[in-house]
Amino acid sequence: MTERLGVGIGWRPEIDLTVERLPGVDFVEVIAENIRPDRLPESLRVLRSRGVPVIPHGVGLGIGGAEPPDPARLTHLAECAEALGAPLVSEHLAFVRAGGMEAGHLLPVPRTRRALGVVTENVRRAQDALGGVPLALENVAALFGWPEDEMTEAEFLGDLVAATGVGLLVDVANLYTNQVNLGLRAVDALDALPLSELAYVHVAGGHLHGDVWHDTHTAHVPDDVLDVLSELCARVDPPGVLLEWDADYPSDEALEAELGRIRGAMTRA
Amino acid sequence: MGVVLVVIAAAFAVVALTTVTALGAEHRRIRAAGPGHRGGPLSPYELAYLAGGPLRTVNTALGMLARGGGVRVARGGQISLVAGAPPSPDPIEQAVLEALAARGGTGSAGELRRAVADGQAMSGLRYHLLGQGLLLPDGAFGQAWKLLNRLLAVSVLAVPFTIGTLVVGISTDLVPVAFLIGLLTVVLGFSAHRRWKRVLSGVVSKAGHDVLDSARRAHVRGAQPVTGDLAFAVGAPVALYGLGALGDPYLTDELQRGDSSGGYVGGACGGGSGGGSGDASYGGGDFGGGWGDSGGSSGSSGSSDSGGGSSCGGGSSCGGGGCGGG
Repeated sequence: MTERLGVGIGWRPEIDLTVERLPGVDFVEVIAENIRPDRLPESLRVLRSRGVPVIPHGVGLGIGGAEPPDPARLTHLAECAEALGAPLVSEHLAFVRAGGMEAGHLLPVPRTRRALGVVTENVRRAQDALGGVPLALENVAALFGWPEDEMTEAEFLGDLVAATGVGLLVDVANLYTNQVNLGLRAVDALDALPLSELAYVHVAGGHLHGDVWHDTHTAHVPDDVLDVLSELCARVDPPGVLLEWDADYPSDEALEAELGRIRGAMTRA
Repeated sequence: MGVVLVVIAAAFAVVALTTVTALGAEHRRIRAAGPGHRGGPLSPYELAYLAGGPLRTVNTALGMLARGGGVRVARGGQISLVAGAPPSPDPIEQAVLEALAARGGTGSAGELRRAVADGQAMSGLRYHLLGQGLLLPDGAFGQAWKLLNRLLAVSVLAVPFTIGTLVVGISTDLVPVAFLIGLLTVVLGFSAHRRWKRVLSGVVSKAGHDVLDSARRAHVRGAQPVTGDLAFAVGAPVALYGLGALGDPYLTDELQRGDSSGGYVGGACGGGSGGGSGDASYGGGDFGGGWGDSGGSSGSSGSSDSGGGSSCGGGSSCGGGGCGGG
């Protein structure tokens, strides 16, 4: 779980050539649900041929659900990891469906002891299915918390890591979102998270509408989010930091500058 | 019998020859009729229209925008708007950007070529060049086309005649002479027809050709640009020589593709694209067919497998349905 990744960017088909040609991209991440392992996009094959690590990032597994993860989705993740020669696979600590109904969002898991037992079992099933490729789970941004929550997300993740050995993908933009929207201080979360198991970090920009922060992944990363990254780097040397940008892509120069700002925040710690 | 056949063959040949001669004279007369160009240097888009027609003009705009950061080119010839890029003052570039905006910000190079080549901005450019005397109006070659049809008719009629001489018997007195004259008329007649058809499809006036020649002397194919100015370093070379002169082989390859290709599935976020490659022909002559460019051909039709995108938003994390990251 400690493989050095460096600084990377989320690979998206709209910016494939940009990502291939952008200086300073050490690794990339691809949305696992959007690729076919037997028919990888040419751009990813080019990146792999250059030795750039490509991490399949799942968004639809729903490992935090009450039901066991879908074997077909797990098989897909495993096949993606194998096709890409991925050093790890990442997903979210979230539930996305229940009773056959899709939420369309990454919803927070009820953080109870009972739920922890269910999720622990789900994570073990996923780890088994991935056949030795490490799994890392990402903290989500939430608009709300469940009334029956017994622990913080950091505590929940800490226990989950201790029970399963799963890695951590810390999204500092999500920590910032929770700080703005729910009043949960990002530094407190950083202090409580098991950062020794950190696999890599997500950074992204968003928009403030009224007093709600929208984690849109479509804008310049605000200094406040980079400050959370610096705080994280003051606590641990992250193996990798990845910029997520999902739409309204700016110029190549702007993306390059954004990666430079991330590097700056990492060394500021 | 042989003498009669020779006389008929000679008649075919004479009609074909005089028609070709008249065609040349008519062509020279029309091309020289317009006034010489007295304006300043042409813009890359004016040059592109003269050198390669509407498709070359769109390709020049795509090249200029791509190199200038106004649009982004992805694999498979997918073009997308760049967020935060300044608006363009040029009508052709505006037309490209508007066509993209009308498609939700992303479209294939092929569909953009078709949309903009048939659009109002292109008509405006054409009328501007007509007004400058650099293009010839529709119908200017009406008489020449009639002559060309006559040449075709003579060439076609000469075919059964030439075959007929063989039936009569090639060993018969003077028949071989008639056969040879007939054969030459057929071969040279069809050859000349093909050539003149291409020439007459070109609508550039002599003044337009002079301007193009002058521009080609100023921008020698393959020469390193002496300035970083986009219009000089990118616009003029692409206008004159096609996308191959873009100065960025990766962008050239992708821009020359017609439609998407891929390996990326839309997942729950859909947003696929693709569509047939179609074709557009702006005739021969100066307005080379296909994409009006340096041998670039359109890709095959793509399956709807590009796209994906995301639907992040709200205060919650992105994704959940197979799109976006978290």
